[in-house]
Amino acid sequence: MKTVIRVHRSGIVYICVSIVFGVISVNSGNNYHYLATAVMLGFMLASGIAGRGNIRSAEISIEYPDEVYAKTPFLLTVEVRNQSKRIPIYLIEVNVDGEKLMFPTVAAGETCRLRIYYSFPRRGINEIKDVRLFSVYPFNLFTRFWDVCGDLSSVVFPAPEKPAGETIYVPPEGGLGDDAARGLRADGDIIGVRPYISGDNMRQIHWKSSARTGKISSRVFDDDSSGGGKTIDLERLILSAGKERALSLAAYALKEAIISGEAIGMRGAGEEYPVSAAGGDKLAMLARLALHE
Amino acid sequence: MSSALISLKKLLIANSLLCALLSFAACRNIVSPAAAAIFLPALAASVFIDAFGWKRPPRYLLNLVSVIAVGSAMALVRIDSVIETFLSAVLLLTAVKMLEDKRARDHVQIVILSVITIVSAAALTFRPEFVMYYIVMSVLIAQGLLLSTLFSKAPEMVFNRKEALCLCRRALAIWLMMLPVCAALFFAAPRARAALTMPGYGAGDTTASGFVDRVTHGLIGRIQESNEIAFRAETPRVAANDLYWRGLTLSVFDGNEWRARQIRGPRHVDYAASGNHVRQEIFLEQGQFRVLFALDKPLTLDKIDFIYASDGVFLRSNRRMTRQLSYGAVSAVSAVMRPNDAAFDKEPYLSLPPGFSPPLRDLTDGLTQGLDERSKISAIQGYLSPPAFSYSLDNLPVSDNALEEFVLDIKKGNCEYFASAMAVMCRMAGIPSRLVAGYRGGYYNVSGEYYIVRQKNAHAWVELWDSAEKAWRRRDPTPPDESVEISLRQRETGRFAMYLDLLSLRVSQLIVEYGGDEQMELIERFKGFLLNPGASFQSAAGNMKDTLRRRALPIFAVMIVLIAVLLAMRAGRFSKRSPEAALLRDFLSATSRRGFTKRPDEGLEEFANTIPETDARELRELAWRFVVAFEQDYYRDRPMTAAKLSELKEIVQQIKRASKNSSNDLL
Repeated sequence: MKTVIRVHRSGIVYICVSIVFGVISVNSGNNYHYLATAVMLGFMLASGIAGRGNIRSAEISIEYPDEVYAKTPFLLTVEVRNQSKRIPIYLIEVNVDGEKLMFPTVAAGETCRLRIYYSFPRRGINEIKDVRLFSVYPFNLFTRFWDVCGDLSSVVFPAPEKPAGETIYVPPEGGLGDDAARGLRADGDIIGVRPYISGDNMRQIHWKSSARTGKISSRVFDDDSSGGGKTIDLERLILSAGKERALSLAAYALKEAIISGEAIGMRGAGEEYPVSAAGGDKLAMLARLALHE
Repeated sequence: MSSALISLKKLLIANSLLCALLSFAACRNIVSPAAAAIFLPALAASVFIDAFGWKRPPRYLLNLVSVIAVGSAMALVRIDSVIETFLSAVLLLTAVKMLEDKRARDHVQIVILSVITIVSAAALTFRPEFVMYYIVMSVLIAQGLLLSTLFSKAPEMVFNRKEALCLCRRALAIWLMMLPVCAALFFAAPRARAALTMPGYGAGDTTASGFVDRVTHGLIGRIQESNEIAFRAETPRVAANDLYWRGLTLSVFDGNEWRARQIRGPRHVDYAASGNHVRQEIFLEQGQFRVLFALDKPLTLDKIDFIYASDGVFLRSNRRMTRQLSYGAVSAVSAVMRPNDAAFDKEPYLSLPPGFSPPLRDLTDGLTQGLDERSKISAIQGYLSPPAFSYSLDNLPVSDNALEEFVLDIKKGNCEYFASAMAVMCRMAGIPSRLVAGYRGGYYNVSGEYYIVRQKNAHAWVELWDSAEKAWRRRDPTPPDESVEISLRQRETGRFAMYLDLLSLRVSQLIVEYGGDEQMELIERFKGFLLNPGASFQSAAGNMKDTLRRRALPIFAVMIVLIAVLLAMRAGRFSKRSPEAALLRDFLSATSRRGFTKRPDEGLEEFANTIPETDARELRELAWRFVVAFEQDYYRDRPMTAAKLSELKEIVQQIKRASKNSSNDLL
């Protein structure tokens, strides 16, 4: 992580004043002038050390929401964590693709979050390329900055598109029909517990198990994979609507299912996702759509 | 508990105000009275505007005032007062800035203007208190720049007291980080052998001097009341009767004024003196005279470029002072000065204006008729003695016949009148005489082993030619004055003031007088350390031992003060704790004394369980009683009642008593 320093106009003035003081000192031989020059230069160095310490204590992370759809603005969370346990940090500015976020102060050991609207133009794995950390602390003479490294990518789901009469789902084959499937919720008998998957409903969380193990766990219901509910027929959809539109239509269906809590499955592209009401499964299907070749 | 919020803006305004006040304090004696008269009301107005929301003057008006201030400064500037005029203009600009609706950059500008003011004022003075101005100013710089940076980015920021203090501590931390760098740069920066100076450089802010290069009757009486320091002299203690600091010898009398003779002096001292040789290190305060003082009779000076101007007078070569002046001197402490050429021309020392004061001549003739030389001197001095004559600084005769008026009528005066009268009367009696202007007495600072000589110690005495010994002999006809006597008895200043003065002297030696020679010495020492670290350590240890021995009392006092401050801080921290937290601390400390220490990750109940039932049944029961009662309130965020607190305290006391008993059992 390489910190770059840029001198401000005020910094240039400060340096010039220091040089003038230096010249006066040497010419006059007056120790008070030497002292003034030493104070000015000393502050320059001390501000560098303090500024470096300040910016080094800041840890930046970017948080995406669970569902990120292409061409759809979402709230991007920028988080600044103060790694120091004793000293607050000041004036941290984060530049996200030209959008500036100011964190005036972050208390010792605390985390501050700010959110901005952001959107990706395409589905697939997308990355915010320009995330930069700035700080003018402590004296506004110089700006220190570095480009935030690390994994800033997110899987961006296809832009959801409402169907205009296209057939999305596999036709019902008798037995448990659409109506019955619609009634299925995550409230059947518990058949097991599995680790929490992002997107799982809060009601699905098994609190006792989570407390015991220290890791959040979700309940698995006997109707999670019952095969009921609707199943998206991706292959047929691609044939009828074209690839990108088909992916967008499927994404729309899955998004709606997440909102309503209905069970849904998907088949096509060589994979089959059984019908499930679990949010995590729906997100997995959306991710599959996002990464569709 | 809620606490009042402090806005960043207010903090910044307070800082800027302090900067402005400090800069004014530094240049108050230098700037024009008009600038001072405008600055202070303007500053007061800015306080009211910022604090009570009074209507602010329009910006165009303030800009106009700024232009006028700078314009007037440029129009009024004189070659010998460039810095004074510049300072007045900068001070007015600071006042204008304070009146403005201040943005972040305005606050920065106020800080810069204040720094420029202090640095410019430092060009005119070498007083050690400027070090204090620099220290305070540098703290304000750190604070001002930090706050204005925050203000530029988040102007609406507010803090509670704790956050504001935290911010101040950050500024202080930056200041502390700056200190070692500053010290290194200050001592390492190259010193020019021959510094350039500009007009007026080092000439301002001089202390009103009790010493004069010519004695005019009645002129310096008021100055003799001044408590300003004239110089300090590091030297072993000298007998009070010998404490005469020689300055200038005045041989020419024109009827009203004594002045020095214009003679081309020899290159080396042209006399001998037989007293003890005493070495002195003189630290001269800034003054307008070139005279270099030393104990009467100075034999040689060193560490300074000087000119010997005959009659025991030394002058510095440089007309302008670019830094505080210090020099070494060796004197023979004696009342007698024997010229190498005893056959020198005595005529100038007998000269009086033609027809000068017949009544005085008649008086002298009457006093000295038929007496030998020594008896004449005794008769004249006896005449000028109490009770007929007395010392006074009030109602001094100042007419054209001041001396005659003093001797024949008023009979009260200060040292100049007595010395002048004696010298004139001796000349009338045919005894060569001259006046010596300098200082008498001084307060001996035992800790620093140096004399502090103040302006009020300014003195004049006479030297009379002793034809038998062929030497000049000192005579002091001035009767004792209480203020002078107090100074001689060396009980003038309190102990604390003495330490402060010592600190001021050391600061002056370390910073103000640091120059090329000291730098070379420092480099040599560093080289010595690199070449032979062992010897350097030994020498440093020896010095430290010596310092500890000599300065045991002040070091002990400083340590006591530090310990008191630390204890007060600790007490303050504990007093801020809730009674519940204090109780818990007591409980854990009492159990720890019994050998059961709670781990940080252990709950209270868990801890109580660790006390074994078999070995410490009583302690375990007491601990459980405490824990159960404590948890009932503490973990419900409920303040404990007084009854509950006293119950818990009683349990802790029981644990402590049990602890004592068990210790006794063990013994």
